Amino acid sequence: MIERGDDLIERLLAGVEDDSANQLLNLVFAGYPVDNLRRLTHSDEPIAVKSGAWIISELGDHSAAMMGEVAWLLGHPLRESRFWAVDAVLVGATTEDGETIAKAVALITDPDEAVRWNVLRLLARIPLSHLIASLPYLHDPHLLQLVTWLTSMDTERISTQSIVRRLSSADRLTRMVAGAAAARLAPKSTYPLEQAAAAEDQEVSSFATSELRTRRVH
Amino acid sequence: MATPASCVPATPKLDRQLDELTWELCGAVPGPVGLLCGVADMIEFGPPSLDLSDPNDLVAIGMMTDGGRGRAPEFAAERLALRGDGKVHGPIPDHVPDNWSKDDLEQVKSDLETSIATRKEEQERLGEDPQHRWRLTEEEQLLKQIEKKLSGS
Repeated sequence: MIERGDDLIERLLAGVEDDSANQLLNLVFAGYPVDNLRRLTHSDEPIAVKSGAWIISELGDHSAAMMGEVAWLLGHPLRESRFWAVDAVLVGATTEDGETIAKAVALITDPDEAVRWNVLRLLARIPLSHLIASLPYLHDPHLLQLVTWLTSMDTERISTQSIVRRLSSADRLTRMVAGAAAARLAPKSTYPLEQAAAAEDQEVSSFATSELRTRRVH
Repeated sequence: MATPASCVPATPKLDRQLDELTWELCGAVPGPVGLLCGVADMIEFGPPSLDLSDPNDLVAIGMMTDGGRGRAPEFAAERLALRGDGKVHGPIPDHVPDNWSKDDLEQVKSDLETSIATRKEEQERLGEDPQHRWRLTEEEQLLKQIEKKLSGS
């Protein structure tokens, strides 16, 4: 197994784009050392880095062991790397990983739209205790204020009206975090999310529409 | 791979929390319980003959680390449970395990539908990504097989 896994890593390091990453993922599930993925994530080959990030995001809650690596990937120049690293934070981070969670949350201002969309998904789905753990590490005071507001959802101090009001705020970040709040509230009431889907802000609207679509699969 | 006779076949309808604990002990990163089970199996049956290019054998290896709960070579439905990111994680079996009940089939079907929708959404946002496409295809194939089995055809 080790030899086969090492071969797959070599293929990815050489930039081969086939099903090697998926095969390697299956080998990791079967016991291939997850630490070896660092060879991919620290490579200069984009396909290797993307593959490593994707595999870590697919490990589910077992990506917890790779949170140090996830923090590195969150700051990587490759958009795919940052995208998958946000997913890894969502499924693998614990309350011990506040700094890494904060790094992922801060990507809400990422230049790439897909990364920002995934951060909204993170804000909409991550356990509030994990979000609270990130607060001491959020350096942007405005973002800290917004995320603190979001974490007050567990005490139900956030009303439907306050979310809807924020969806039309003049401040872009406020609208985005309100979109995430609307998605968080969706299991109780879909009204704010429906309002978000109809919002003028295209990014918030697109996120809310995708959340409604995914939730309506059943 | 031979089914260890010492293991009592378990139904997939077991407490999800217990399964999570087993994952912790012997999931992707083999832990002591899983290793013990694997070693015990090898003592009893000899080293398995495995083809590592065969996904069935990969799943079988995973089952060797199943904490001695007797799931080898069948695949535990709970492992395909939906996670917080709206996707199922873990190895995808290449056929529907015979020991899945109707409830298991319906649960996995529902989870796969959500997972596939999420993955398609991600693909739409991020752009076509071959590695993600492979995973998506595996999930779609399993879903089709489950639908076929549920329809009785």
